[in-house]
Amino acid sequence: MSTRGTGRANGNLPQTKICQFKLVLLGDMAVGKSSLVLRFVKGQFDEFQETTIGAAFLAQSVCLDDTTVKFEIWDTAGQERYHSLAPMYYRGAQAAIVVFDITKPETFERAKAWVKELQRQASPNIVIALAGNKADLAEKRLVEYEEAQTYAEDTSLLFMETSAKTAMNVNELFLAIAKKMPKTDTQNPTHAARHRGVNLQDPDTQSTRSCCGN
Amino acid sequence: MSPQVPKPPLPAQLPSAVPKISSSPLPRPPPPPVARPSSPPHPRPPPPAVSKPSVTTSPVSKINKPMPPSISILEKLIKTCPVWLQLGMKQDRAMAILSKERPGIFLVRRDVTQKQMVLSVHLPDQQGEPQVKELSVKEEKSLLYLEGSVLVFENIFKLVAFYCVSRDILPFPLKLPQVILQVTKYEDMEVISSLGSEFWSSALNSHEEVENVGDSCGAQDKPRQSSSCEIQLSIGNDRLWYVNPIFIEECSNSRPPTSPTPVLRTQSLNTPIQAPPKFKRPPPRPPSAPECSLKHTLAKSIKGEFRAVLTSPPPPLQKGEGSDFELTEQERQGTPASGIECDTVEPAVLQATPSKDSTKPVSHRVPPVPTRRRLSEKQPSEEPMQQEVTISTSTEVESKDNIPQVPVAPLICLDDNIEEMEKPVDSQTQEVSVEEPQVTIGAPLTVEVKRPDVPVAPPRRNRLSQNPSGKAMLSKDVSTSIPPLNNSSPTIVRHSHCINTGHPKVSDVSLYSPEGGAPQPDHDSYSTSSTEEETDNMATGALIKRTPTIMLDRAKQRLSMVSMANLSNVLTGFMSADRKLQKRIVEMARDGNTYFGNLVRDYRAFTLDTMRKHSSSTEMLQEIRQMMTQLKSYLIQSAELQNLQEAAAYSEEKLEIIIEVSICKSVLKPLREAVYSGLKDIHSHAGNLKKLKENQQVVLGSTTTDLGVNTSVPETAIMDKIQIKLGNLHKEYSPQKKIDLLLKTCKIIYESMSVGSQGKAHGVDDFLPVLMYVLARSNISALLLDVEYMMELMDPALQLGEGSYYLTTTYGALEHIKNFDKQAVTRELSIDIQDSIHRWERRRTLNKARASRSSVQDFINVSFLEAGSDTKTLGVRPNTTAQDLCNQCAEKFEVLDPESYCLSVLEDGHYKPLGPQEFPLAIKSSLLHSEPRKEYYFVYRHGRWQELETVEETAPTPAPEESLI
Repeated sequence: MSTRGTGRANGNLPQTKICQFKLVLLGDMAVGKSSLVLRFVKGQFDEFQETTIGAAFLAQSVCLDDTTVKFEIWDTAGQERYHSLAPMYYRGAQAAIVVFDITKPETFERAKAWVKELQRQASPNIVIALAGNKADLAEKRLVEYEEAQTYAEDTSLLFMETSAKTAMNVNELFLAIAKKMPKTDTQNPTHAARHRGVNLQDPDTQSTRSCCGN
Repeated sequence: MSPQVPKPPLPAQLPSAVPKISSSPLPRPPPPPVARPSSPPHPRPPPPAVSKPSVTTSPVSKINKPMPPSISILEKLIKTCPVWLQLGMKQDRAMAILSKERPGIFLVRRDVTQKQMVLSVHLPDQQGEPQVKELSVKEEKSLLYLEGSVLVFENIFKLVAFYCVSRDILPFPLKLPQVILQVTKYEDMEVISSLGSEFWSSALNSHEEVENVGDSCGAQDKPRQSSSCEIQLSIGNDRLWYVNPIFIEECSNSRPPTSPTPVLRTQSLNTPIQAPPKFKRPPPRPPSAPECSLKHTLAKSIKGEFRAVLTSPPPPLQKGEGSDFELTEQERQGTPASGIECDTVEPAVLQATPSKDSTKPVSHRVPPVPTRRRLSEKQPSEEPMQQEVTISTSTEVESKDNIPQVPVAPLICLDDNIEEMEKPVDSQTQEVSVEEPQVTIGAPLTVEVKRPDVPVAPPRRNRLSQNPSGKAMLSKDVSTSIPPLNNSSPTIVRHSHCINTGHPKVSDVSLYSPEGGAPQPDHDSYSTSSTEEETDNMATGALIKRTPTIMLDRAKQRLSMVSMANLSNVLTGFMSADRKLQKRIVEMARDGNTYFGNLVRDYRAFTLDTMRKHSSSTEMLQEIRQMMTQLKSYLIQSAELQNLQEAAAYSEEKLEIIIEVSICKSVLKPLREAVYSGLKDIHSHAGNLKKLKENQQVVLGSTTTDLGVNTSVPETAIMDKIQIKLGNLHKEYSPQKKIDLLLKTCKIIYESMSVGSQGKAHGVDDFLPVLMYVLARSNISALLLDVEYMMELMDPALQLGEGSYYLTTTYGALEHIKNFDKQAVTRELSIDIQDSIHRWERRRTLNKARASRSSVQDFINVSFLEAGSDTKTLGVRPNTTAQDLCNQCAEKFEVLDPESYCLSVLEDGHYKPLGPQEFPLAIKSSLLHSEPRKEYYFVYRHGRWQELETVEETAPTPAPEESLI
């Protein structure tokens, strides 16, 4: 009754358009990147969760009004020593979530560096979201909301404070990103893949369906 | 009665977030969170001050912590159902009662006209909204669900219990009257329930505001800080049995992960299967409640389900994700370590059919977890077999969208098996064969479907590999169907893959279409399936692969269960058509009499010829991939394919998948050796292999701490297993099959990481160091070549997704090892990598640009001086003129005086020079298609261009038959 349209998927899927996006997660170690995504993936929308072999790569679909947005979520290693690998991961990503820990200012600085790097080197149209994670630890907060908010506005980022622990704003963040993603067909990186993915009505699948439908 | 918070605070409304949200770039304020955190109306139990009639408020409830003997919500609901389950109540009465209650308070009654239960809830005041909302409780196959929701429950208690803690489609969770929330003794509940509907007007039902309302609101900000797990969430003073899986994974320790998440609806239908009598469940907690009253009420509506409810064990208090718990339990008890399949599977099969018709037994086994009505990906934990069954059953419910392909999958596997008979059977076959008979025992009993034409193949190694249809679910289905064997691995339960099939993700299935024909599709994003199967027990995989008959039987079983016997033939035909087509294409590729066969042959020759000329491995591989893509493009639009009867029924997408498999087989398989030796040369030359080897030693000499490992690393036995996987990966020719093996390897690594910290979900921060640890102990040079091979030759359509992710990560780990330095990684690495990525990226665009149909490259074999001598394969395009081709020949044959040479066609013993503006490809094409077929040669020989102007004007197509010499 109330949650329709807010990302809850309720059937009707075959009619909806499916858009697939690569989303990369960046941020320092231990800021909760993985937890954030796990919360998202294993939380509310589990009916669209896809099985993966581990938590480094997760896939999750959310339903917007007429579109199913499928995120392929690429986690990156937060350790500085792996920094040089990051471009491999954000290359071709259409969305990024840069995560920091509101109780650790240095992670915020690192996040800013990531944002800068993304804006310089990633796809020009990449949608970047900044997540101030661990918002449940408000009493240990060392990065002010306003500070991050201002930064986000200045750099045109989506911004939310999140808590992977309490789920605060987790789904909201992903939904906000989903809404910002271009939904046109051409936006998909691999045309073939998208094409195959979208056509749910193709005759072959149909024929199978009808078989089982009995 | 319910001195509760009017509405559970929502995370999004945390003081820190709400006001600010508006200024954020978000289009609109975030929707209210639906997550579990919001579920507990009270983080803490109301203070004792809420003076209630003594009966109900036991002293214990005053304490702010969960009571030791706390009673689960479900239990409370069951015991107090006379209060809220008012099946005979009229609507107006319910309205009257609820309108006096606090928002969230509810009643369940029965709508006589519609013959269904109705959940009446008092909503918070809202404009235009009725104060009391009625939601239909739909019933389907004895499963209940709230209209509009996808979650199903086996009985009303579980449904209500779920909605007491999780709102799903409701605006907020349901609330129990305060006194019920607070009750801690069964006797108290007895008193309450004895009041029946009178409760609402009784003194027990206090409407006073609880004092701690403010308290609980305030507590919202940091509600869970104290508890690291949501497991400890509470409602009132009640511990919830509903658990958030995330935290289970993160916080839980030794216990096998079980999933509390809603289960597919289908699941419950099958339940009997999963719990054959021999598997004992934990003994039910003896109900101390007034059973009679319950029975009374229940009997009216809940179709005998009450028994199940009453006898069902208390809901798992926390970490056990309910459904999984059972499964694991079952596996623990029922399945011997040896993983004899018949133990579990067979009973399942036998019971499956009955389960479909009579759903009653079902409830007994189902954990108190909501079930999902819709087939979905996430299938927490059921036993695969069961799931398969389920799926079919669910068909009725879900309509065709979801289910269709499920049954097909196994069949296809069968097919596949046949297809691959040629493959060598490896050593594992032995074990398998032992198991085989056992499994089959059950099968004949259930086989109802006749499918005479289903081929029964001998055991074979790569079962799925050639799967022509590229259905993702194939592998899933297969793998899932044999779970018991795997049970030693902690991850066993992952999900039912077959279910995915039906889901929206069906799209993915095609998205990640198999390339090498392998089970890949799934891998590319919902990987596990096949990955899983082999994880622990190689025999498992082997079993799957080599026991086609079993699959067959199961498939039949499934078919029959869905009462689709009549359709089975169609399915069989369907899938064998996939295989046939794939085979036909491979045959065509080998047939020198077909245009395509010529193309393939020429292409291979051309590749072999030019391979050595590349100084960059990437370029070399990219060229091969490009050719493959072109072959695919050619074939898909060629008349030769259209003439194949087998291809007629296929969509282009599907054709592409099948063709990709065939092309891998006809092109990559023969080229594999050459490609590897080319790669090896290039890398040796560049010193990469040496550098890698040297640094491998450095990494080997580093401690796990140096590597940044914070988890367990694979022990020796596991490492051996990994080596086997990687060894197989190396031997494989199909990029997609390689990727599958890589994913399996990664999965093994994940599993070994979880040793000692079960349930924790490891992100890449944890994974990458362990991967490096593993790779350093592997044949790293081979892997370097493998990774490149996979990266460059995989179907470009599969570049997103899980396979690609782990490929990237493996590549990153290798690069990291290659440049390993304990101090820090230099920027140099970054440049290297970026350069490589750039090249990879280039391929993507390159392929896209060139794969368009107009630009399909073709080949012409040109002999030098006389027919058949020194023949070279030259790449030409439709618009390549004879003049252009001559220039190529001059270069290729290294003639010094190109002016004195020209191109002729030898046909019927006559040399016919070409005009400079003729299109050799068109000539070749017409010759190839001429009837009767003619021998012809393109020969580069001494001569002059044909001078006739007319030739340039007349289209070259019909080919100048009148030979000019």
